Amino acid sequence: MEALTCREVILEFLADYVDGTLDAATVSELEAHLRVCRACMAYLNTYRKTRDLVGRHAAQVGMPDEMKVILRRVMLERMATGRA
Amino acid sequence: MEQSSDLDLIQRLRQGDAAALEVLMERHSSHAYRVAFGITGNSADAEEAVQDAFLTLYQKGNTFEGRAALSTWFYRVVTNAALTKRRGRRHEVEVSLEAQLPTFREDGSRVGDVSALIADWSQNPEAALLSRETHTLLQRAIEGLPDPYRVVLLLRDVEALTTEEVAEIVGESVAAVKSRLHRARMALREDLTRRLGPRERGHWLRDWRKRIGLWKR
Repeated sequence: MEALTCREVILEFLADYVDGTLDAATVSELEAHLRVCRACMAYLNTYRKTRDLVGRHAAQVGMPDEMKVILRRVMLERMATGRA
Repeated sequence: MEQSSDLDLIQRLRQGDAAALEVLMERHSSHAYRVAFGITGNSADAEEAVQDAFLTLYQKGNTFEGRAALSTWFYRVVTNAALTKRRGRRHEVEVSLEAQLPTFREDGSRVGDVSALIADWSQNPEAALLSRETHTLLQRAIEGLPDPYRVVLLLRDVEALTTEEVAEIVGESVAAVKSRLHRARMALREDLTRRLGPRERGHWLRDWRKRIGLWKR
């Protein structure tokens, strides 16, 4: 079996690897590549960190309370007219 | 009431039950707002998109038959409402992804300066990774993604829905969702690397000269 190239590691398998949806045989091949390729290791680490930062960044977004008040009012007005 | 199913709550909502509205808002408004804000990039449009989505829930909730989770159906409604708000001005910020994807030689190895390729900023201190600058950069980078990529990224990596759920919401195949997600993440990784990775050699010299200048003063 030929060793994986950087292109295959990054473009084809990295996303599934990070999301835990890659099959065991390919995981072994990919990890064998990572052990000898610092560039792909760095790519994996920064890719994974990017995913984490996106999640944490957006988690700071919350619906302001005054918007909930307005939403409630808009909905109750519409419901009062009974036009479902 | 807190234990009621979404299907039950929607039926009561449609009969004008304010308490049902309260529980539905509690369950779904925050997620809806986060997705809408992520898509539109501003709070005013996000607010309108969420209102539109809740009105749709009231008016068309009968088309939701409880086969899928309400969240999937509602995410689709919110996503569409937010995309409608964004339409017409997306060309202002959207960039092509191609320039931000890694490039390879014929033999499958990476193109680029070795020291840059092996640079690993994921080990940078948390304070730097969570700084206001990084936050702003990420916000801009996400806003710059083409709509189909940004929507998939938000639903997968922010709302943590499964690939299958996202495929259902956006009406695309699982393969298309996976491909878009991967390209979106690679593009954002590139933006972050430019900011957090090693700088080009010239920058260090310029910074150093600047500091000497400050010390002399």
